[in-house]
Amino acid sequence: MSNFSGLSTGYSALLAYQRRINVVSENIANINTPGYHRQSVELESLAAPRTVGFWSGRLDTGGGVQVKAINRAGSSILEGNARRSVSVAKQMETEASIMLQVEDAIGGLSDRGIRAELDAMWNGFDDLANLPEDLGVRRVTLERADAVARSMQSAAKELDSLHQGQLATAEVQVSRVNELASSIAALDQQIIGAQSSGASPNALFDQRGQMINELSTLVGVNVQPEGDGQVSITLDGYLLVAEGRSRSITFQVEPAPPTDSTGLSVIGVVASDGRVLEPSGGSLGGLVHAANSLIRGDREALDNLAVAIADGVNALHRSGVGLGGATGYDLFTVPTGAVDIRLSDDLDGYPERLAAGSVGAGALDESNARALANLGDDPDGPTGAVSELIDSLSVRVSAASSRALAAKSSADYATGLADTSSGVSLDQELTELITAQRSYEAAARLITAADQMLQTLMSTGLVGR
Amino acid sequence: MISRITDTRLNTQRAQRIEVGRKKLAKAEEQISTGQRFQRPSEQPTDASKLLRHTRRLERVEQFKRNSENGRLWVDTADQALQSISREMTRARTLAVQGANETNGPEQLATIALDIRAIAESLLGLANTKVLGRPVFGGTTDSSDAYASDGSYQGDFGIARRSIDTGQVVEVNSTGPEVFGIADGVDALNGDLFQIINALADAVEAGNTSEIRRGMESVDTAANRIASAEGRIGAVSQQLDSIDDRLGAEVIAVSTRVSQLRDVDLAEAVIRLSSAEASYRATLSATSRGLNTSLLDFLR
Repeated sequence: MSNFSGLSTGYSALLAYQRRINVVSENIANINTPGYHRQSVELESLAAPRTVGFWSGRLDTGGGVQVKAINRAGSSILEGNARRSVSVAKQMETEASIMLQVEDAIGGLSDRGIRAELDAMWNGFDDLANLPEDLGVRRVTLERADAVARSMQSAAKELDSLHQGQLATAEVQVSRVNELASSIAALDQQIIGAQSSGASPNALFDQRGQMINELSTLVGVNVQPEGDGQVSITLDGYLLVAEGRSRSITFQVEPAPPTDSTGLSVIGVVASDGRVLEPSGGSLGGLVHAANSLIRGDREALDNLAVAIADGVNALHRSGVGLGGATGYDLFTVPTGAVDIRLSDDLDGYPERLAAGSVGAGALDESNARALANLGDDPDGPTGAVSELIDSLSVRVSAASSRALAAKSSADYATGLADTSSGVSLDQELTELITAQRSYEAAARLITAADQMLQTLMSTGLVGR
Repeated sequence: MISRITDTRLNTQRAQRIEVGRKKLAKAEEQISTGQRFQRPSEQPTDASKLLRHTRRLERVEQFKRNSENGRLWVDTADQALQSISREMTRARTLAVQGANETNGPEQLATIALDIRAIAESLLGLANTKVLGRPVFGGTTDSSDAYASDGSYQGDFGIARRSIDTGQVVEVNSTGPEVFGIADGVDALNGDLFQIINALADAVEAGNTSEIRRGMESVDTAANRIASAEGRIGAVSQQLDSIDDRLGAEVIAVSTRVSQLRDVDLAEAVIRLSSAEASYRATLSATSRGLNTSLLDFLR
């Protein structure tokens, strides 16, 4: 133990608290940086230098303080949990917003939707029954039938363009997933490099965490931290990132299966080994689920509805008689489904052919028009089908919205919880700052004291004179 | 387990609370400005489903009202025509009684016969009474008159029906032969109203008292037929009255139900708006206070 050890102890304290103040300023500077994890300095006391010989065996003080490590706060369990809930919430949100658009397309409560136009058509047939001889009424009735066809067409087309939009968005997201995967792999290599050269990889960890978070909002992935600081990421069992390398997935549009009447194509997310992945979670998971299953049922229901309306109305209409004995005509034609239902060429522009009467009855018989109007009162007919469609859709949309809300709030909670362990608290940092500052002042004082002691020894004392 | 409250978390929570408050406020404002409880079915699936059913029923009932109004037009037109016809027939019968008086000279008989023929003309005109351009006694014919100028029936035996509720119809017309009898090619006095009146005129002109008396009996028979047609029409008219009452009551009931399901209770909505506003203000004020506070305020 030399006389100068006080100086070096003080010096080690100065260094340590300077580091500590630096870290505090780093924390405060990054208080609003997304993905930043609070850092803290871990100190340890230095053991006294081992001296052999005369002085050994004497009781001795330690050798000061040193920075043992700069720790990065955060809990991988909480963060993994937060990522998973955000992923689920993102999928729910995507699905709910798509379902809302489906609901808008069907237009349940709107007075221009399928339901409203259909009801107007049934009532129109009653008007025709009241005045079968009136060409003006006939024209209006025909226009109402046309409006039914148009509302079905526009709903079907809206769903189709919604589906197109999903394909386009999914394609963009798949390429973003690939970008992120390769960036994460590149960061992993940098992390290994930083660790071997002794530099702190904390900032790289933060960047990688942010990328993994973004990846999770796109698609649900399983993140496995490896012992060496790298991560391996799997998507539906397919290894996306491992050991600093990444593999890509490809976006494919496959034609609808032949059993599917809607003709809507299917999104395929395919691994490099050719396996078709089933992404779940994230907006991509939501899009794939919506495009490949959610939207199809309603699109199919529209097609069935178009066929049901056309079949029901046509069967009655064919058996009836229009003015001048016109009979055997269809009112609607449905070449493929809801997307192209329209007035038949035989009726379009020929209001006199509207079959208001029955065969064999008088020229102005109205019984067939009434039968057509009564078709609208049949709970098992098209009216029932459209009510069922709107009811089931509104229940599903409502359920999707509440699921999305619940998932959002649980994701918010999980994110907040993860932030409690990794985030920066200003008050805490300030406390830290003052503590470190005071300690630094004290250490400086220590050096002054040692200096004075040396002066005493060397200049003012009588020793050695 | 919340170990620390970080600034990020605090700020996120503040933003979320403000967002929640804004949403509530926006919803309350929307309800008041649109006057409707919900804009899309998924907001209230059960109520929306009921609302759609009731709206549909309301539109249907209003259509049934229109149908019954159209039917009433037919019934009233026929009723008025029949009343005029009855009056004319009474006049014809009175003239026939005069013609049966044996003190009449040929000139007087000719005058009476002329009057009776004029009545026959007027009866034919009344039998061709039209409703919205269609002969009311012509069945479902598309010819413009029920009876041609020679008195032959041009209509058919079609029944005009009007829907007045789901699966319920009312027959709103009576065809010419039902009301005026069926023409008889051999014995005119056994034929329809127009044949009878014309034959009666012929008999008066000829001064054939026994034919006149037979003719008067035929007129009475025809009058009975018309009276029973009037009775039938009166019954339909009453039926339409009660249907109108019932449909009117249903319109009110269903509209009330629709309004209950769709429309916002304004008083309640205003209270909701005020409470949303109050809680939003409270959130903002609490947040603004918290935002400005940190240890920095107390450090020198």
